[in-house]
Amino acid sequence: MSLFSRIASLCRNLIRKGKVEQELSDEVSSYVDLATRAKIKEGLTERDARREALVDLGGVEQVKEQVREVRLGHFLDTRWQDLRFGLRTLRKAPIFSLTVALVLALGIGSTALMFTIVNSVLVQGPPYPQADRLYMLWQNIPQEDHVTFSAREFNAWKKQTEVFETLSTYMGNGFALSSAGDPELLFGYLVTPSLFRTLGTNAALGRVFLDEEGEVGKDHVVILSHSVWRDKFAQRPDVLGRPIVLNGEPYTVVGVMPPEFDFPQADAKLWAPAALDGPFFQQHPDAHFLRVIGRLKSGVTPQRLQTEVDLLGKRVDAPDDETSRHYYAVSLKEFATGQLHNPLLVLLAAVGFLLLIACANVANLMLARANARQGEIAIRAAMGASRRRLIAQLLTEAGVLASIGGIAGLAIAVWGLDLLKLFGAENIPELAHAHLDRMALSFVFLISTAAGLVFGVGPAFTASRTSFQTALKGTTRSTTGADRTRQALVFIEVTLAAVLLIGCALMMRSFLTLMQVDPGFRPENVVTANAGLMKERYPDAASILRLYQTSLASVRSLPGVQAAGTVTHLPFGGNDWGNGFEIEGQPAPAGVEYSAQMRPASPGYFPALGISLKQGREFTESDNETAPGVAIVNEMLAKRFWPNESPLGKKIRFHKDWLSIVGVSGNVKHSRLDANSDAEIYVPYPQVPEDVMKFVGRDMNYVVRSANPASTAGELRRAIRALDPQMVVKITTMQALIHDSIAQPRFRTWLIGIFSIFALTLACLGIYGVIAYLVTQRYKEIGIRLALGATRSNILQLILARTLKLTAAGILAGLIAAFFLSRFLRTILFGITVHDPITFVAVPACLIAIALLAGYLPARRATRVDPVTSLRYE
Amino acid sequence: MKEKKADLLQGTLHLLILKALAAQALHGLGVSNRINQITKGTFQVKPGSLFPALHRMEESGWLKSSWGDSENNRRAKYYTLTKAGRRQLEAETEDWLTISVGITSALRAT
Repeated sequence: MSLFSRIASLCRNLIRKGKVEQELSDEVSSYVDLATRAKIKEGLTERDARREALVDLGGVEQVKEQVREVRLGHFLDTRWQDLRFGLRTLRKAPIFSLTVALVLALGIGSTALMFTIVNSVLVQGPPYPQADRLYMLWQNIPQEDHVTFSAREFNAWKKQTEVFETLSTYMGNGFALSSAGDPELLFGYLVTPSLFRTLGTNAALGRVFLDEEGEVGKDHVVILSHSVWRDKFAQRPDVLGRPIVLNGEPYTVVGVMPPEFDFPQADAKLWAPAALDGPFFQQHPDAHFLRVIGRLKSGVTPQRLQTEVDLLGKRVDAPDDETSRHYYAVSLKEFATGQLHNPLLVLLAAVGFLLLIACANVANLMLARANARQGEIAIRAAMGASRRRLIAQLLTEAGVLASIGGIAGLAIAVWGLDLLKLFGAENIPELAHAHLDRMALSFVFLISTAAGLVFGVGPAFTASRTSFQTALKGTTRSTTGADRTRQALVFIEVTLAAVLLIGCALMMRSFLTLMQVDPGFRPENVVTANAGLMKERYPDAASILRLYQTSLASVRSLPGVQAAGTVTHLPFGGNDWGNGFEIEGQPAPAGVEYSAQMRPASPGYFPALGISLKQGREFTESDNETAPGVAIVNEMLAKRFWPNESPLGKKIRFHKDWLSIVGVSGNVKHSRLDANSDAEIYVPYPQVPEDVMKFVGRDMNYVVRSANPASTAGELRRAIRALDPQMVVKITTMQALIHDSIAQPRFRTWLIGIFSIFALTLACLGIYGVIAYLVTQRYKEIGIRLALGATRSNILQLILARTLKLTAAGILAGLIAAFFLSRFLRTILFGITVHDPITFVAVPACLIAIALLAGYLPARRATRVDPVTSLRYE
Repeated sequence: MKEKKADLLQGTLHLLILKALAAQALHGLGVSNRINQITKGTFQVKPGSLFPALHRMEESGWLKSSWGDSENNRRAKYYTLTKAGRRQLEAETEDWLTISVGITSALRAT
């Protein structure tokens, strides 16, 4: 009964508040009237009676407030009042409110952005069901890590069923699509049909492969990616069952994958079955180019997996295989995102610092504002507001600001993510999977609340302690407590900013060092063209060689060409070819097979790319199929096997025939600027064995050094197309390829640079704020000093010295902290140590200069003080 | 009349108000006077305590109020006990008597 009545009263109190208040007013004034009447009856005059009645009452507003305090719904009502009042006061101070909201939005937004990326990429991992059960198999052999599998090895592994529920394999392949418009080379993958089962995904349209489609004769089916379906087939549902021509042969489309499916990489445009029993794989059973992925049987732990893989590895090797192989498993998540782990965490820490700086900044702003509002708060207290009520009201204001900052921050995070994906997605494909989900939203909510508390609680508590007298008198001196808090906050800001800037400077120096690495050749003014030779038009080595000869002659005659050559595997072209080799007279120890990168190259290749020849000569036209077999080795290989003599004339072989070494070339960085070079063996095109050439010669990479690269590019395409109109040709420059190869370090350096700029700006604003405030507090003192004979420059020095005192401690603390924290950057720094002295000296020096700059404006204002007017200041 | 200011627990105030209104409807000042009367001058309830208590009890459903004319033809808010209020009065009276017997005997013990 009581509960029902209370609920009814609650509703009435909230909804009909006006009426309730009016009644209360009437009731209290009625009480006063009755009391007055009673006193008149006792003999007092009307005026005295009324006065006494009011005194007895204790104050009309006070009584009403006491009633309100016990009223049901009072809490909600006051919160609502606080909210409206808070919004009004914030509207009346637009600059303050906007500044706080902006600062918070930057801090919260950046943090939310990085959190989203870390969550999507690192925490959630690959988007397949139970993706933590997916593992890839790799092997190490002497001289080479992280080697792929051969068809024979895969089949042997497939027979072992102890650990894997399903085991699948895939390899990249070029598909020339020639039925929909211009012939276009699409990059796709040959996959065993069980791959989709292993991953646990289904097609969006149609179906995935059936197991029998892995057999020869049934394998001319294909699954399209969503982007190909959209771009080339206009998303027509009738594409299923349609025959399309790939690499000159008819394939039937059986399915289309969902838009977000991009296994194994974002460049996958279509998937076709890998017929492991078919001619392609059977002809090269020992060529290692298969990637293997499997799903663990339930109950198999990662530790057990590794032990089993070790054991099974010994069983799997072919009896005549002398190479010692070490097999191991890597989780798919680790493989896909392992190298992003450290950079992303560093960036996350960086935004954490930024957020803290932002909160410190806002706290300072709130303190300053609370100080300025002392008069208003004192009046509210005098009107009957309890300390608790004042704190609640100030906290509500902080809450409103935190909410606005949080919502704006969320907007920044959303836009920022879209921007990042736009600029970075091509080179950092993992970004494509980053999306804002419930976790990210909860995170934003959490840090907004935490931020609100952090910068709201302090000022709320200090401000509500306002003493009435000092406030109403109009003196706006802050207490020493508040002063010290402000300085402590700036100290924190400067320290954090210093750490962040040192980290940023380290990463920038590292990136600059990376950019300046000598790749071993001269990439300027070099145009490259990648031509894909389709099997049906170039079925054998002879046809490849014919094209090689005619195209080279044609390319060489183009205007502006200074040198031209071809190579099968271009540096930074994404491909390589490792093969075993032998040195005559230096047999390899047991269980070891020497391995080097093989590079069939044409005459003119070395001058075109700008690789220096250290000894001997480069290839000429006379190194043809009838001439004695020759090879050029790079310096690394030469020094390893012939440290004290010239290798010229010595014999080396990678196939049946011994080749005579005729030249030594400089080392070249082939796939990464920050990796070491490999041993390389160059051989002339015509001398490559036929059965090897028709396999490795599928990519013809033209390297053209030209005085006018832009026009040469167009001419090059025309020249190649003239020889074969159906050829798919990709033209780019060497510099562009190198540029793309360092996209990820570039990306993370940009990001930390942006965060550091934000942090530095905020720290400067913080310093500026405190010094400006200090100057206004000391107007009188400055005026007196000036009156007593101090020069303007004395005052300037005084204020700047104060600025220095304020910031030096923070910079020093930041320096020490950075010294200990920079070890976390070890894995992502290139070419400089984590305690790089130049950085650790230059950054603090710059910070001191910037801090002095931040204090300069208020200092200048201080020098303009007119002693006479300043004495009137309190 | 000498006013003895004694600390009133809120619970006791509720009990006194219920008792004061048991006989007849009263307005705020009337309740205060009646409490003073029935406690023989021990308790003089100030408006600052009285009004909050009256409103709380009305929200709980023990009192109900209506506006009427007072002695000097001014409008005043009169409170009466509801049925629930009467039940509450009985319950609280019994509680109080039990407590006071217990405490009295405790104080008398040697």
